[in-house]
Amino acid sequence: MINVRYLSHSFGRYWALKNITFSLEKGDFLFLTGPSGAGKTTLMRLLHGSLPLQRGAAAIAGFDLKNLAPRKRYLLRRQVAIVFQDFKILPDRSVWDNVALPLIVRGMVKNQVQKRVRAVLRGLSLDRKSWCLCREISGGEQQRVAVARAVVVNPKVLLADEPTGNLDKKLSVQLMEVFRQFHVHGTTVVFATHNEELIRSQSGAKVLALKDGSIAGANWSLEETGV
Amino acid sequence: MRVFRHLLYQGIVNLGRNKWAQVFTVSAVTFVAFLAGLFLLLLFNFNLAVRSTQDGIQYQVYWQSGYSMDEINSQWNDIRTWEIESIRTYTPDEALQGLVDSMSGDYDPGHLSKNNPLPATAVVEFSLDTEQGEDLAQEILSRLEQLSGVERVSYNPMQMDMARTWLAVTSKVFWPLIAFMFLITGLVVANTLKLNQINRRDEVEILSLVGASSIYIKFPLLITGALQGLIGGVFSVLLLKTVHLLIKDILNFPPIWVSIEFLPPLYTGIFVAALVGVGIMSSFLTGKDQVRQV
Ligand SMILES: Nc1ncnc2c1ncn2[C@@H]1O[C@H](COP(=O)(O)OP(=O)(O)O)[C@@H](O)[C@H]1O
Ligand SMILES: [Mg+2]
Repeated sequence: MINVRYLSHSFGRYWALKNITFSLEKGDFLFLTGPSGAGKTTLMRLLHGSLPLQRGAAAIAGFDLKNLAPRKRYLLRRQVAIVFQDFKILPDRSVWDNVALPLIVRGMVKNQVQKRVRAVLRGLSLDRKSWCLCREISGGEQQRVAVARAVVVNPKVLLADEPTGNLDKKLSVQLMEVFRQFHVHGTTVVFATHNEELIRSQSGAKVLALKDGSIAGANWSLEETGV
Repeated sequence: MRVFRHLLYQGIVNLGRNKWAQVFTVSAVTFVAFLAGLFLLLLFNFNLAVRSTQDGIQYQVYWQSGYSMDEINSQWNDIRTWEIESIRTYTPDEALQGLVDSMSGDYDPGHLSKNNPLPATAVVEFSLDTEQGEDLAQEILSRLEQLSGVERVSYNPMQMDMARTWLAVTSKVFWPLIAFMFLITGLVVANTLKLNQINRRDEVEILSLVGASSIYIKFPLLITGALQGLIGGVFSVLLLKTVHLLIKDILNFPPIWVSIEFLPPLYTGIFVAALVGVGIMSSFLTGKDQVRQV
């Protein structure tokens, strides 16, 4: 589902990622850990097609990132959803509008949209905030809107960049449950966090630790998978 | 089709977002377009005024006296098919009659009518316009001079010079000026709209991140741009019409008697369509940049 080979990325002369190689099967759950500045966000953005591939190769959900024409990029983004560390939601629209956006963009019929959005908002305890404008809700709620918008499309791959960063313990657990649900139904999840407790709570998940842009450790053998 | 309607609707709804920004944008477009329109109106009327003096340039053609009238008649019929406005013809008899009529008293032409010394003449009248230029004047002149039996062709050199000068002015100044004005207007309008759309950059970015195709993102932008151009264009025409009503008759007194004409519907249509076009173009270019950057 995800195959990354010798991936490096630089911002100017600074190498944010160096020679990253790993691969994930369909339905894997990966925790991406590492201190701030390790390169987690950069890796996520590369996998989502938001940064151009500079060195190495990467494939995700059947798309070869090296040869993906910009005008085909939206097809990748329909299979690979992302929760950004800084949310990237529309502050002047309601919670409902933000979560419905990816479905509307896909041309889904209205009552389907309603059904799905309602279910996802309930799952994330946002149903009572449906009609609030996003700039008027708390940071934790905004974060959950970002998560809701990603999971509402039932993606093949779910990339989540520190989605529990602004949440208290109870909400973190609830959010984890949402991710687990998707994982159980076959979604491949990449979850960036440095919350050790959260990682330990998910037995069977793969863990990849980054440090200064390089792989510092993994709880499975990176060599045996991939080509 | 549902998606298409949704996108069309989005394009219209976009106008309602950020209301003050929209008001400023459309006002700026209206104002620039109004100035351009005013300029166009003045040029148009100036052109009309000058053109009215150059209508009816005349060549007077004199045949050799005694030349065969049958021959001359067939030449006259031929001339009628040329690109001219009118031809007035005088046979020697008619010329003589005219001469007699102009003399007071009852002068008897008697022997003159038997042995008429007057030549056949014709006054060929035509007008110059920009497309044909002065080639037409030259061509008509040489064709007239080459007719067999024609003795000489005379014309008023002052009038010809005036017409020629104006033709040169229109082709060298008038059209370039209009083209230049359209360019300036286009640039100003395009930049105004572009600034307006940069406000919506976040939205474009987010649409792209959640999987919208670039057509899906651009189409509402195009609609918004087209509407902004259209609204600005229509407002500026209304403003222009109001101003026209106010100034229409300021020159309409003796001895000038010029009433200022409004632009013909075709010009007005082209004017508004050009603004819509600029709106679409600028949105297209802005949208292209933005989608690429995400
Ligand atoms: N757009 C950028 N321009 C320059 N440097 C950047 C940019 N994005 C990230 N970096 C740098 O790349 C390194 C990795 O950043 P990031 O991937 O955000 O780390 P993490 O998400 O693990 O905290 C950091 O040192 C950061 O300063
Ligand atoms: Mg980060």
